Amino acid sequence: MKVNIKSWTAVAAWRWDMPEDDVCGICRSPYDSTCSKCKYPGDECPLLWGECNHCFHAHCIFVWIRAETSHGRCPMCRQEWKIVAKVSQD
Amino acid sequence: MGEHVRNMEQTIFQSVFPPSFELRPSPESIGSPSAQAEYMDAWSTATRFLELGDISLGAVESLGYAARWNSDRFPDFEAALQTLTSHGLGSNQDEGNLIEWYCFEVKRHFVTVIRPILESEWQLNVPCGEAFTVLKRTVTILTAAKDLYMYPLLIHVFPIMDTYMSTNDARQKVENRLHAIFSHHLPTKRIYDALGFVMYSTGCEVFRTFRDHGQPLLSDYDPVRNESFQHMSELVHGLREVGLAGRGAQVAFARAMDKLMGEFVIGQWVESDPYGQRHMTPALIRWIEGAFPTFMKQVLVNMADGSNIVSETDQEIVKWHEMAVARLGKARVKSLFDFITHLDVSTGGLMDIKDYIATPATRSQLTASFSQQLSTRLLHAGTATTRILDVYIYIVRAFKVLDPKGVLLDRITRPVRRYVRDRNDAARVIIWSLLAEVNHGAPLESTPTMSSEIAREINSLELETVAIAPVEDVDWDNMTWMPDPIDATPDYKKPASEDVIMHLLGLCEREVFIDEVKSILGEHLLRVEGGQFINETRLLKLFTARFGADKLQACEVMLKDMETSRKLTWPIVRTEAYRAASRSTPGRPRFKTHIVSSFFWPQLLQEVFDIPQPVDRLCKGFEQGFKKVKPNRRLKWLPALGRVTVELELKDRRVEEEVPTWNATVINAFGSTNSTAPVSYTVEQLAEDLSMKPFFVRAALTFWAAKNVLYERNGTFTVIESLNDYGNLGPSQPVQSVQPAEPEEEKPNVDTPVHRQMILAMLTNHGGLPIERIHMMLKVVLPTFTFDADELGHLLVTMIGDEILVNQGGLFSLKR
Ligand SMILES: [Zn+2]
Ligand SMILES: [Zn+2]
Ligand SMILES: [Zn+2]
Repeated sequence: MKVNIKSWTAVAAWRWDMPEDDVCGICRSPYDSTCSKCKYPGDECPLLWGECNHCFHAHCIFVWIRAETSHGRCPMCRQEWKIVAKVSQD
Repeated sequence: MGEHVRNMEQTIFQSVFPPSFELRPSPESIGSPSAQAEYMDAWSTATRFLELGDISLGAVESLGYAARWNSDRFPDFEAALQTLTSHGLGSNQDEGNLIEWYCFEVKRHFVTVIRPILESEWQLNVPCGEAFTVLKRTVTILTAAKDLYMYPLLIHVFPIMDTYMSTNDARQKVENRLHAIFSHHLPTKRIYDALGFVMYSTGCEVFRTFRDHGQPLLSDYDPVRNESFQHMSELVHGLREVGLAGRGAQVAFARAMDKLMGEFVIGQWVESDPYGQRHMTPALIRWIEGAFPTFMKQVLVNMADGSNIVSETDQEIVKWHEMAVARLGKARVKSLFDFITHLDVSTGGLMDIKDYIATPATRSQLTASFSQQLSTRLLHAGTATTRILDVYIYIVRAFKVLDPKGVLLDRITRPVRRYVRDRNDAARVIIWSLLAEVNHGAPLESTPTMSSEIAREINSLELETVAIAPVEDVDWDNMTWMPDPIDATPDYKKPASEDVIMHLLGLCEREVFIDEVKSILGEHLLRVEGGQFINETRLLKLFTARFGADKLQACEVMLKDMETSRKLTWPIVRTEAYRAASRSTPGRPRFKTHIVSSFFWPQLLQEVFDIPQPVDRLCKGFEQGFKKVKPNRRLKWLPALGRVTVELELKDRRVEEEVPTWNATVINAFGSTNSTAPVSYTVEQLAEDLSMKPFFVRAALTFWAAKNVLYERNGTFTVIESLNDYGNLGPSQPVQSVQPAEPEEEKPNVDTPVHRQMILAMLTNHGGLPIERIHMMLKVVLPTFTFDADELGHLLVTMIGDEILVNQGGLFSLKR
């Protein structure tokens, strides 16, 4: 008997390349979830890494930085917030 | 006792008819002794003349009594009567006294001669079939008796008395007295009962005969043309002539007509139309306003005071009208469950009910009656959940017609909602049904997990018309737009089907629905080979409209993942990593990956095993490509999920099947380029070679054995290269060896060694599972498993009894 596999539909789960169960320090949601404003994870609600090596939902850190009280610092380590050019892009 | 009764009768009688000696005025009041003597002589002559003696019924009926009052026999009667009347001049006392005396005489004669004859006729309850005859005979006898009693008065007494009082008045008076005597001494209750029956049966015959001609205009009907009716009319007329058509007869008639109406409405119409195909109220009203009063009036004119009652009749038609509609409605309401479950034919019956439920009283009668019907016919353990849901849909549809404002629906469906709360598969069945594919034109039957009516409703709903938010804006370009009715609910403008579905989504708790839809949608999306996901999108829109968007994010993500995967695949398959893998894969299968957002999907099957080499290469290439395209993400393969189309080239045939990945992996192991030697494996060998749990291996092998691709002997599965050879392999049949031959039974048995083995293998791999899951998996791995969840439940309970399984909080697992 010859077996021809004509089509194969596989299933794979994606997650951010972060330790499992880690949460965004701002919204406290898992990285793999979304910020409080978004509906869909992934491209629509990406993550941003800072030079201080902290990571947040992009929307969460944007809102944070825009607030005057933040003084442009990372909410976790109080260092100046600078984005690492490690943004998830196609 | 008898003495007492007789005394009683005597007392009553005397108060009505004083004995004769008291009637005779005392001669002292007359004056001179000679006048007194003359008066006494005259009295004696007159009374002797008028004596009835014991004239027999025979003589009465043959008029053989006429000679008795020949004036030749009593030449002095006229003079005596003159004497008697002259003494009482100025007052009618004396004639009265003589008449009184005569009435007493009549009573005596009637009681001694006529009554015994009639009593023998009426002694027992008259059989219905003889009622008319006996009545007729009674009328004949009484008429003859009356003729006798009136005869001497009419011939001899009244002409002389005419000087003093009007003969007509006197005659009327005496007739009244006679009638009183008759009815007092006859078993009138039986007579009126019999009369009522004759009236009722005549009515039945009249209207039944009438109905034989189909459905002509009832109001045009003239019952007088009917022969039975004429006989009955004559009878009534005869009874009236002997004073038996008074109050008692009228009551009997009223009862008979009431019964007739009931019989007519229920027996002739309602029972002949159990599924409510005809709207009967209009025809009934035509009958009630036309033929029925005609019939009534014709009878009433033959009764005493007829003319009076006829004018009342016209006023009462309105009342009858209401009564008839109420009767019809009440009877129709009893069949409401049948109407609702046969909605395609029962619109007429529903309209009758709609006509009926115009008042609060009738509406609450409807509610009470229907909830009774629901509890006896639907809401019990023997009814499948899908059936309950089907009927629920029927109810919603029916009440949209019956009560468009929806007030009743809420009340009516309360018992259903309460009951369904205890059916823990209800939410699942609803969701499965909402996701069911409907092949238009193909008949749709409900299954244990799918309600065909729900599927029908949802599929009649255009995706575009599903309102995501409550509709508030007015479409100004829509010329047919109408303002909402004052009491309309905000979602008034939603399409009918959406309304039905919304009712459905009120059946279970919001949390239950949301939990179920998450898990079902997850399984469902990975199973269907969908391009558009119309059903799934529509389901989500409805759920969002009903429960709000916040709880349904996971579902939205799952659905979006399907689309995102497609878009993402394109850049990935163009990466060098993937193209290299693809190039080195023989046969170049169409390879596709659903990339799911792990956080939002329900617990997915984590089974790991060795997928076929070429596919594994493709996966690795795909994964590298993914890392290129989405650098900050990781992929985790879920090899037990997904679908595969395999084509098997055998010596004499090709077999193509779409199967789960684990199943494809198992059959792939039997492949070889050298077709001369068929490949063989045992479950254990394959489990080890593929690093796959034996449960899946066995399930896959069973599947292919059922397809006659493999056969089993002594635990070893071998490819059937040629069906001809297979026929020569001996008596052992592959399918039978997988599923041992069972004695032929009319009913398939759920408790088989194979099923038990499957359940054990499944629970070995999975730990505790709910029954629905076991049921689903059994159906997945055993295409022959057609039992429903209840039947499976029996097997599981038996296995608990055998101390093989335990049930902990609804999860079945192996007893340790
Ligand atoms: Zn966040
Ligand atoms: Zn976001
Ligand atoms: Zn930081």
